[in-house]
Amino acid sequence: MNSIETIIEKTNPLANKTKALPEDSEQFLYSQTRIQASTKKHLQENRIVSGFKPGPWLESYKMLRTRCLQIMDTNNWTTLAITSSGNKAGNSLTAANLAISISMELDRSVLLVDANLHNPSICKLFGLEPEAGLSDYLLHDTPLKEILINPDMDRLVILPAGKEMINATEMLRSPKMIRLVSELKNRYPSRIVIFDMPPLLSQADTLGFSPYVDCVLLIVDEGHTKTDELKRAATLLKDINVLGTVLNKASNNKIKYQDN
Amino acid sequence: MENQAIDIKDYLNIVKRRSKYLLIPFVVVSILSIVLAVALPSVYRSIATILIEEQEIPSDLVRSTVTTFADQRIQVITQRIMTRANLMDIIQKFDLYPDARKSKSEERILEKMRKRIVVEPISANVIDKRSGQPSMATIAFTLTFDDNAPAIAQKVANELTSLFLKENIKSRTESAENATLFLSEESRRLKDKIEEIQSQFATFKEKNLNQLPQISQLNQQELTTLGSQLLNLDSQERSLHERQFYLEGELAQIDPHALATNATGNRVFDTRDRLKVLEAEYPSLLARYSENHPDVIKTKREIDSLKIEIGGNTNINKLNAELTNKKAELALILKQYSGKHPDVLKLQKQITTIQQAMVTAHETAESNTSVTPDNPAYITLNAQLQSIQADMGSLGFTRKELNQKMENLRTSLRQAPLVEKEYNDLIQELDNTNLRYREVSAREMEAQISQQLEVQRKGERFTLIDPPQEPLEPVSPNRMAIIFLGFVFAIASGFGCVFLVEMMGSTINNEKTIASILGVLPLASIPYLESREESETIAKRRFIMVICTLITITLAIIAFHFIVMPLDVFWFKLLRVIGAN
Repeated sequence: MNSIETIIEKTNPLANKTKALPEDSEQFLYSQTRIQASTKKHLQENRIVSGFKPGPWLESYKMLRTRCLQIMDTNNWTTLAITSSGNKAGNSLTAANLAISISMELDRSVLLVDANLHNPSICKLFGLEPEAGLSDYLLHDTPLKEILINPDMDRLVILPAGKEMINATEMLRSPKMIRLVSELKNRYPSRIVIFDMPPLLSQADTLGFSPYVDCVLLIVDEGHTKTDELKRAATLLKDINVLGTVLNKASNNKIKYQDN
Repeated sequence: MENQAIDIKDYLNIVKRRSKYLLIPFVVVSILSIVLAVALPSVYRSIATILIEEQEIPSDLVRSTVTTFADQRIQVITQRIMTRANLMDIIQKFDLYPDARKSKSEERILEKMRKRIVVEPISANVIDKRSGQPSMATIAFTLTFDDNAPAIAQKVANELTSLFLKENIKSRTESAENATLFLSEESRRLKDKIEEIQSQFATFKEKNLNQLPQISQLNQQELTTLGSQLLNLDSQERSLHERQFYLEGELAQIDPHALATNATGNRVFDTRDRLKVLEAEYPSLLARYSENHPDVIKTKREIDSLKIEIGGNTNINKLNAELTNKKAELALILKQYSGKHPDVLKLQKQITTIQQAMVTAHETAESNTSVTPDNPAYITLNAQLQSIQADMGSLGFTRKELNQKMENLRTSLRQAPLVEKEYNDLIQELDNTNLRYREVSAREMEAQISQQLEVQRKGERFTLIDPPQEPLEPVSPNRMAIIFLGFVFAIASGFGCVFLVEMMGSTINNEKTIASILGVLPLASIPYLESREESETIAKRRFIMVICTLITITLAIIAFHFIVMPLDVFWFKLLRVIGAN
């Protein structure tokens, strides 16, 4: 969406802020991970919380983070898939923002996996230019260390989706993928792995992949998600741990645009 | 979490979200209603009040033949007035609905006009004099006419009122006249009938004169009298018979011929005695003289002539006996043979011959017995006998007559009951007809009086107490009401649209809906974050909307100005509408 801008920002050395904390347990990760950072303006335009001053926008995600972590800790869950019933409900944005807000907790680290192989968008949100992604890992065995990206935020690593895939559903259920999931899950106990998934009702990916994650978070798009869509989604997910729902784009406490 | 009931805030949210669906119908409908309220033509109403006055002369004295209820009569007259011819006349006269007449059919215009004529009775609670029951009586009625022009409304109302009054008088007089006419016709018919029955009665009486009930007693008395007369007659006849027998006896003893004496004093014999004498003398003469002696010849000749004279009757008797025999024979033969049998013919011929012979014999006998009796006693007795015979003949005649008469009387008496029945029927019919005639005559008189009542306008009348005035203010449309209702309807349609849209697109719009579906409230609610672009777009869209609205309104106003009515006119009308109410 703002690829030219992103490229400009990326090439600008001033924009890159490296703030790796050496005492962090996962410090080695960053040593293996490329660090890319985006401009505040880009983040703001893409509604990424890190681009905003502390305020209602950030607070709402902190609230979501707190609720999610409470439940996940109680059940000892560490992997979370984020999906919605229909298109453009804001899955990726919620995933990204939730990931950022979790990473703000000092004792947590987050891996955000863009598992939407049909329409990958996480990188666009962060303004990242990945060289390879999940698809490359699955197809060509590209090493993870070459794929992972740190968007210049502490305790947050992104696994981009890579190129679009036609047989994404099958690939997501492949043994390699399952191995990857368990590896990501088990390597660091305090790490939360968030999968950004395509919509539940339009693609089979999510439903097929859901048994391999601990829980699912369902995004409800206010004014667009139909009641029967939600009902259908609930029916489909009845055997899977549903963390809960998020009412996205709530209009009754709309945040007006303000220059800052 | 349990609080899933929709509260007022949710409604407000819905309205806020669907404000477009609320506003557009609201604006459209309210503008339409304002235009309607202003553009609707005024209707002016002219009212005439007509009082129904009771008849002046108390109805106990003169009863009107027009007995329908005032209400009913008003309806009838209204129908009569609202005929096509009448209304078309009025339309032509006042040049009503000039535009509509060019484009619409006559029926439509008439229908329109009929709708604008309203006849409304004014009722009052009264107590019926006769029954004492409280009831509603029509004491007056109003006649109204609506039109867009006040002057025309008044004129037409006036015309209609006068038509109404005229029609009432006409119908009342006509009805009274009709009653009179009918009754007089009826009485004339009854009179004719009476005459006819009377003449029929006269003919009947004439024909059955003797069998009439009044006569029958007389007939009986007469029959008794005749019976006694008949008895009397019988006794008379008996005495006459006795006398006849007596006289016949007497007569038989007396010689018809008197013992006449000749000049010498000798008794002159009658023929038979002479014959006896001569026959006695004849043998002695023969003894004394020869046959050729002149005395003998003279006596013989005398005897012969006497014999012829006397014995003619014996000849007839003989013929008579023979005829009887022959007739008996003929009767006997006729039993065996037909009339053409030779024996029968022969006998018939013989009988004819004998009869002819008898006729001739009679003639001779009469000439023979032409000697009239000359004995006075005999003649007297004979005359008496003959008078008795004449008496008896007359008695027989009288008896016959009496019998005839009695027979007639009896027949009459026997027929009398039948005649009486018919007679009574006729009398009855005559009586009935007479009675009816008297009744109808009395009614006719009454009807004539009633007709006078109507002719002199003393009956129940319609009086115009409030003639139609030129209305100053229009009665309709109630523009404020239209505007008010328009606004109400606009609001209703706005909310209706919102409701419909909400019903059709059942999207999830708040946490409660999610909670109601899943039973669990969402973990969090992420507010909508407006981006700069969106903010700009919204501002831009708002600006375009304003411009568009302004342009639309301007265009609408211009269109209104040129198509519906000039704006200044509209403005003044609007001011009047607001000011008037």
